[in-house]
Amino acid sequence: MTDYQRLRQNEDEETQEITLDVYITYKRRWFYLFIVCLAQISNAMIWINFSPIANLASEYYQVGYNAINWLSLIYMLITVPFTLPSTWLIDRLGVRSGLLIGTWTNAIGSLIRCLSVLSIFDRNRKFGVLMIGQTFCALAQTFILFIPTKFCFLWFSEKQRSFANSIAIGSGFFGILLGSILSPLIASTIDRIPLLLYVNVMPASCAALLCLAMRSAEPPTPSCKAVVRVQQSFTCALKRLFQSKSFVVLFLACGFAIGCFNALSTLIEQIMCTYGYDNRTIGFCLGWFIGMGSLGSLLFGYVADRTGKLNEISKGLYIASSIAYVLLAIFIVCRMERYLIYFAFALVGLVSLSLSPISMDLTLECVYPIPEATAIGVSVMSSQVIGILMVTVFPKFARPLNEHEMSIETCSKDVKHGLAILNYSIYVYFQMDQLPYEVLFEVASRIDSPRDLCSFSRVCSLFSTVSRDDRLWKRLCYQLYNVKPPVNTIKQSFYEIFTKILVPYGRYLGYWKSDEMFFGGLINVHLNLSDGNIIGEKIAPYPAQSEHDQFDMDDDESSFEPIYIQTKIFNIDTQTNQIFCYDCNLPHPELKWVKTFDNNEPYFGLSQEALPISERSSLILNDHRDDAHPRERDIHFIKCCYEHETIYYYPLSIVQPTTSEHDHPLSRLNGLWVGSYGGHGLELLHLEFFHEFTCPSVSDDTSTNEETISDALVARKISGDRNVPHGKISFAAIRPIEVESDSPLSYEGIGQIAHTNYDNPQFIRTKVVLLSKDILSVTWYALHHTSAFKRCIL
Amino acid sequence: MAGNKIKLQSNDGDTFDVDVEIAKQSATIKTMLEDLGMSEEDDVIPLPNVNSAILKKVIQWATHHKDDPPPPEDDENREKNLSDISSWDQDFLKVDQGTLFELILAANYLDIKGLLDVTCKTVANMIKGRTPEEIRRQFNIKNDFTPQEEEQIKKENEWCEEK
Repeated sequence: MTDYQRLRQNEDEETQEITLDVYITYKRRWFYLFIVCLAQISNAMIWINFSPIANLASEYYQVGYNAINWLSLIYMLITVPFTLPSTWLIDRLGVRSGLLIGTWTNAIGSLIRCLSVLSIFDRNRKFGVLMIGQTFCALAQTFILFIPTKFCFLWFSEKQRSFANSIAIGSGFFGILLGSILSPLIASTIDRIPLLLYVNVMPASCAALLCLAMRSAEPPTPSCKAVVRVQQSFTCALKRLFQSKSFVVLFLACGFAIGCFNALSTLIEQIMCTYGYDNRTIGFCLGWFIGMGSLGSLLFGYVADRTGKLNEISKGLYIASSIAYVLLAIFIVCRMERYLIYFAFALVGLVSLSLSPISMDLTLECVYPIPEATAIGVSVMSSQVIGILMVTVFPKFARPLNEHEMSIETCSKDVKHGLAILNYSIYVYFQMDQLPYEVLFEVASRIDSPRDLCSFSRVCSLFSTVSRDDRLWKRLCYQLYNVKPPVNTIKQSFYEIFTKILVPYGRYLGYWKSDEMFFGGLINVHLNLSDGNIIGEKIAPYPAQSEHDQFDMDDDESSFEPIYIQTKIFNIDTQTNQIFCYDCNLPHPELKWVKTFDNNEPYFGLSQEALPISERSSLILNDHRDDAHPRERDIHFIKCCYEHETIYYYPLSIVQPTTSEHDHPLSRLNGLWVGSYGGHGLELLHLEFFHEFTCPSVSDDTSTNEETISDALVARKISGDRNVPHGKISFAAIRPIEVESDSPLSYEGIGQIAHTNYDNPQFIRTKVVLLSKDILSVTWYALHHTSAFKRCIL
Repeated sequence: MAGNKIKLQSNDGDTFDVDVEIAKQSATIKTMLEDLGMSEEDDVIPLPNVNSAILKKVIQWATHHKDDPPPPEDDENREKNLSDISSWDQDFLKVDQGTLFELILAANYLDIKGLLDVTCKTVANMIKGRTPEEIRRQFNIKNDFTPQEEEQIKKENEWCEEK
């Protein structure tokens, strides 16, 4: 302090002596106010440090979000037991001693924090050291926080008191502002966290050193009438505080206002990052929040001083801040543009932060003459308790992110290890389990895998009910196993059919083709819905010797039925899991799941490896292969009742004819057919439409090259003869022939002929005529012969 | 007649001018127009179950799909293909779950088969391959089974555990 000032001061003192009813203020009060403010700034910076970069700090110290929250929580926690002792000390020892204790503890705390980056501490200890430093600063806060009000009360005149108090408390906000903006800027990456700690030491030590220059705790003369000391015992003061109704109301209101602020600044990064806001944006949000808060404190403090309407202003601000908080929450949840978020934060800051000094002033006014620091201490304590409750309780209500939220969150962007990210919002919109039954059914009917439907049914009781809707299972029976019974013919529900019959045995349904010599063979395994049994039938065309060995095109359709014989060969009783073999009538009480085959042992078995119908499409290309060594999963039955040989069956996919107008006309002929082969009698064929077909060279043509034909119908033999055995192409329709509009569609084709034992096979030209969707004729030009083909309808 | 417009009113009072042909993708609106003879141009069709944000999306969808062939009637033969949601629809349905469910409700109420199909498929896709617990988390659904019921339903579903 300069001599000039001292001189002025003396003059002031002299003046006071002369006119006792004039209250005097001293110039040095501004210098002291500066120290108080600096202490506030430094302490607040340290408090907020890690909140905007919670994810980085969590990574650096290898601790969870909860531990990082504790860095902030410790401030609030320490406040609760220590507020009363320290405010008592302040009231006892005076502002100067209180400030000295506060600033020095703070400076020491900030230094200890820096130690945490030293490599002498191993990984697990680092956070502990940081926490000890933070605890020191938290202790310092109990002194630093409560000094301003008392200080202003003592040193400033009534006209300036609210304003000065606002500056002091506002500087605390300014500290938070600095801390929250600087943190993400300085510690933009993990390895710059030490720098952040060093930076924080500077203001703390400055305040501590400057504090030494403070000479007296209170001005030599009181600054106003109110500052007439009424000595009261501490407990008596507390008692009187809580007897005042206004104080209790203020105590709670102020507690919630500041508690909300504390909780928000602590949790802000964790809340906002789940909505895709990055740390820098969050820092700026806090910046706007606190910046406007400081401005608001000054503004409303000034207005309050001028108008003296503390009561009305604070009521208005409480209402405004509730609205502003709601607005903020909506903006964040709706992921509004950044500038709108800034605006919301600014608004919340403006109205809610200025509540703090205004409420404090109001408290002092209404509890006078109870010691100031005690009254403020008690108020702040309530806000800290509420803050702690919010920070510790809120995460309990938070929920893990769902898929959509996972895709937008940025919390885990800068960190390597997985963080337990939580969303703090509750679902306010429609939830899936609020949908009506029919709508849930619509969703469930789009679930194509029974396994997914199982999971769906186990979610909750409503889903469970929906999942039992028999329409779902009717559809699955058809889609997965091609089981489509006529209405009213079944006794069981489709759910039972599906789960009891189709799940264990469904994979055996369908066509299976054997490779018996050159003749081949076909069985059809189907479900008899009336008794729930699964029946295997052998399908064979009438043998060559019968009168049906030829059928004439001119015959009407009924005259050549039946053209094939179905022989029942086995029956699976799905109730008892027994297999009955028809040829030998031997029940096999235990179904044998055959994986490895022993050719010497006569038995009947089903391969567990058999692929379900829905997965057989991958085998289509192998349907007609020649090699005699089947792979295990292809084998369906090994049957040896009385024949002393083993028959292997391969799955055969028979493509369904298309019905739509948009498809190629040839694709309507897909399916299982019977054809007449002269002296060989009737044979089974498999017709399938291909978009691309490699057409073999034709022997009666000049050109001898293979060519690729688009859109061809290929007929392969399922049962064969000595000339062209099973599995070989019999004929193919490859190119349409122009015909008159009323005659049937005709195609240019090829046909395969060979000598006995498939010797010297060759292709000759044919003509394929589509007489109807179930009948066609093939004319073999070189043989001067036309054979007829008819669809097999089983 | 092409070019004719009708007015649709959402439950919060907004009205939308929509081509008749586009609006008729909704079987509900189609029935209203044809059976009840609501063909006058000034007639406003109130849709008390749809709010304006959802109605706007529904109209957007219907406008984009106005030239689609009508979906097949027989939904039992519906092909099983979950992945056949067109990329436009996929983008269109990148919304939060609340909106998605409201779209399903609207499609159900307005009886727009195509929209109901893609929205339901989208939800079905979100269920695909998940455990019950994952589904609960995904949709924030509370498990309301008692331990006994849970055991019971687990037992009933044993068949799907085995391959």
